[in-house]
Amino acid sequence: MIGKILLSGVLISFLSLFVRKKFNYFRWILFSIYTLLTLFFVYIWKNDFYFSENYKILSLYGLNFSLNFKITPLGWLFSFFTTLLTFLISIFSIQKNQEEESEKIISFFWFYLIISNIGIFFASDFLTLFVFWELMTFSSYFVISPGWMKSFRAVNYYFVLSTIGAFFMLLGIGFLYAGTKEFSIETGYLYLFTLFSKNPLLAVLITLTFILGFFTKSALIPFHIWPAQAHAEAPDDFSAFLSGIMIKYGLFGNLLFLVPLFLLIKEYPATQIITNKIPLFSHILAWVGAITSVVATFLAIESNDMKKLAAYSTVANIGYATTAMFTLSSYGIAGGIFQIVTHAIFKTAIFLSLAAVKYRTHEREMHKLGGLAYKMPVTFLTFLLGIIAAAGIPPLNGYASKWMIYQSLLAYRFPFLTVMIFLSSTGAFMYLFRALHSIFLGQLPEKFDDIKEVPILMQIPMYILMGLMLLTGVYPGIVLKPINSVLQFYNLQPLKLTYTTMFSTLSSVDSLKVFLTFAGSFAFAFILYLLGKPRKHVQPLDNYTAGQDPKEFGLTRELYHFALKFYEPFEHMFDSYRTDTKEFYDSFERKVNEIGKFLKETLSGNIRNSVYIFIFGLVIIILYGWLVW
Amino acid sequence: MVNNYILRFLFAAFLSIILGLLYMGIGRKYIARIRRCYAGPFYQSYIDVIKLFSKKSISHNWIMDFGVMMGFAGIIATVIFLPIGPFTVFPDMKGNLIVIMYFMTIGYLGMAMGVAASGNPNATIGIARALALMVGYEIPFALAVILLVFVNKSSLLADIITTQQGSIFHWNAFRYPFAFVGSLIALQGMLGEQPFDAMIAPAEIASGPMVELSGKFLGFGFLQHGAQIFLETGIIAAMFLGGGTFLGFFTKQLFLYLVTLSIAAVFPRYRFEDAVKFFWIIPTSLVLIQLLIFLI
Repeated sequence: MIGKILLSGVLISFLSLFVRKKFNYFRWILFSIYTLLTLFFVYIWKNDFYFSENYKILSLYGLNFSLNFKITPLGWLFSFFTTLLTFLISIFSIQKNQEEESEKIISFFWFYLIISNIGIFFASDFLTLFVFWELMTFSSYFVISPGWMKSFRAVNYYFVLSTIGAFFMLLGIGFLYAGTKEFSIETGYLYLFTLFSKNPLLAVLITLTFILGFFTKSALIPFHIWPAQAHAEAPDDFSAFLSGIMIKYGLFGNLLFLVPLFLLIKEYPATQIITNKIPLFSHILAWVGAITSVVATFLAIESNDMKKLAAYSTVANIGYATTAMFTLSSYGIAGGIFQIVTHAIFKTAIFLSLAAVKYRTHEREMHKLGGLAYKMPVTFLTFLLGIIAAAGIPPLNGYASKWMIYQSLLAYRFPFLTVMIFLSSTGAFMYLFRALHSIFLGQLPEKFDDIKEVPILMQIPMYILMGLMLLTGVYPGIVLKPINSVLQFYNLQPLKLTYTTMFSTLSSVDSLKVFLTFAGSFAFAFILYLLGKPRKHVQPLDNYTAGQDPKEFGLTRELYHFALKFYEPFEHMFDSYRTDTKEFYDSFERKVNEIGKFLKETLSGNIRNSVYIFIFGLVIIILYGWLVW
Repeated sequence: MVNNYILRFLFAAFLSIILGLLYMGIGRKYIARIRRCYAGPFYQSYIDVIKLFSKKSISHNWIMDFGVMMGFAGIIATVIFLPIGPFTVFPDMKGNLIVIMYFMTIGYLGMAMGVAASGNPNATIGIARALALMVGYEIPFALAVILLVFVNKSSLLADIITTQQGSIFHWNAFRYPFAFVGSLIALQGMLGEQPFDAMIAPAEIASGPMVELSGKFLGFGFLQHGAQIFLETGIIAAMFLGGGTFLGFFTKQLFLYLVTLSIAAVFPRYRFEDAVKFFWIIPTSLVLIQLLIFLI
């Protein structure tokens, strides 16, 4: 069944190429229908855990290349939520892409993203995982940059980093294959675990290759700059996919391979250094997550571009999830997965509302916007609920997952990680409010006076996302119950919970009560509001000029919009600590270019030299293959 | 059952408003005594609120109305989770500290949204400063919370209060004095009193967030500040001064508020980025020392 779905995706994608430009919405409807079908099948697979499928592709010198799929609880959870969100984004895209340039190629490659999505989450061996991993990288490359110059520059960061990561991963897979003679993930980490006692250095190296592979994809330090480039320059609706879903593949890799490995080491701690009851390696990775979240938070505070801000916010959230899952407790892993799911939901909502803003205004710099809430209330509400969730404020879903993360960090005594997470979570409040104010509140510039709300087809996914944020916030059990089956898959203690209440060793919280308390308090405030004398609506500028015509004073509304350099004095505090990672990568790029140019000039100027080098290289390879292999 | 909850809810909400406003009135008189000048009677805040609610007011759009209400509702909702002396609204969630810390922010967000919708740049500058300050004072406060959670192996305020019963020397203020001092400084920032009042700074940005609020909107601002005083002093009183009976709890709250005001009355104002630096250096290291002593 999995294979049939993937194959039908390929067929439909080619079919969609024949749709003419005039009816291009039909192509996107086709895509939505395909996504919906996939969602339906993923949903009915919820009872078929551990069902597996194998497709033999070819066999060479005793090496069997086959695609193997297996439905695991972890893969099911990820694929269900990602497909659901992709479906919502695809509804948004129908309208959004009507006038888009080069939408044909974009829609064609979107199909492959869905295909690779299913392929990655249901892969049962490394080879399948790697094939779909690369398919995803390549197809997303073409979606981010369908021939646009600016996004081409940005996508190269993403592509080069992803490719380097993927090649390291391939190296790791090769090492594991050499040891086990098969590509299975489970035997892979079992073998690596035994290797930790036999040959620790090699084991650490192999683990590092996988860490590089997964961490480049999920943009942890020092690879944290590509989202700000790629997410910002990608097509607006695709940014939602990039940020909500694609960045999670790296975390899925962690959960698939590294977390079980570290859990094994935690259980049999003979060979490894154990700190705070978890392996040192895992502890370091948790720290990397926390540092990433803090750094990304400060970068988000400084950015004036709304999509960059949201992209850095994504990196910060990835940091929380990484920290939580590498604390290796049930609460930590559950909190990490829960954070991934909730972040996917609220970040999709945030990026879709930003896409709606850009659809109407064609602006990305926040200080050129303002006051849009009065014109686009649905978009505003989506964004508002999104940032409330992102700041982890009850009763929305971001709070439930953060609560879980704090329980894990506090119950298992990680004081400094907790403080780092806390710092970045309070900082999140700063940049989220900045975005809310600069885009939606404050003064409406005169050029946007006759702006309207986005069309109804784009509003529908926003309504659904608002509902989802509230639903998973008030009833966290909906997500946590499937997560419990993931915990059983890891042989961990499942969490004690009901649909509304989460329990931990430190405390328990009933989300429904929290929600009702807030609703009650709001009703209380509303009654007080009605008791007061009725208010009168006045235009802001009339207020400043005492009722006279503001134009006589040369006042425009833009003058009163405080948005540029919002936190400037605060930013200056870090002037002496700032290191520009982007500059590092840029200089690296220049160096590579220089070396390439040098080699080209000195060697390929003379054809004879090139031939010598070619033959020399060939001879070395043949000798190596003959003598050593 | 539900009626019972509603009654408890209303009791906590009104208690926080009434006592918060009372503390505000007493505080005004106290500051006047320090500065050797006159202040209105202690019930002046009640008069102010009633007067403001009965006056005409202007608003610029629906978000301003909504935001101001949401700000007040957020603080009230947080008070519901605070154990007020022996009284709690939800007996099964006796002051969950993580919930309290995050619920408080919805009040700030609501107020920030309301005044930002008023469109006045002074208001927004005030909010930007307040949010930056928040990043400052939340760090020592969070560290103090972490310390107490580690000590008690529970993140419920009720459990933290229970372990402090018996004698005055069981109070966390005496057991963990550095953490107490650090949290007191954080409290100063939370309440926005001098030297950390850069967000209102009357002479600089025309009292910041409040600049566009009139009539009942300003009334909501007053009520929110009152409830906030009640809430924040209440959290510190529960964390470090052992909670207590109704009367004891209120006395501790008032004591904490007056301590805050005594500092406020004699200090000038920090620039807000200096304040953030101060928070990250002095109180944070104080609490950190305490935490390290505990961990080692």
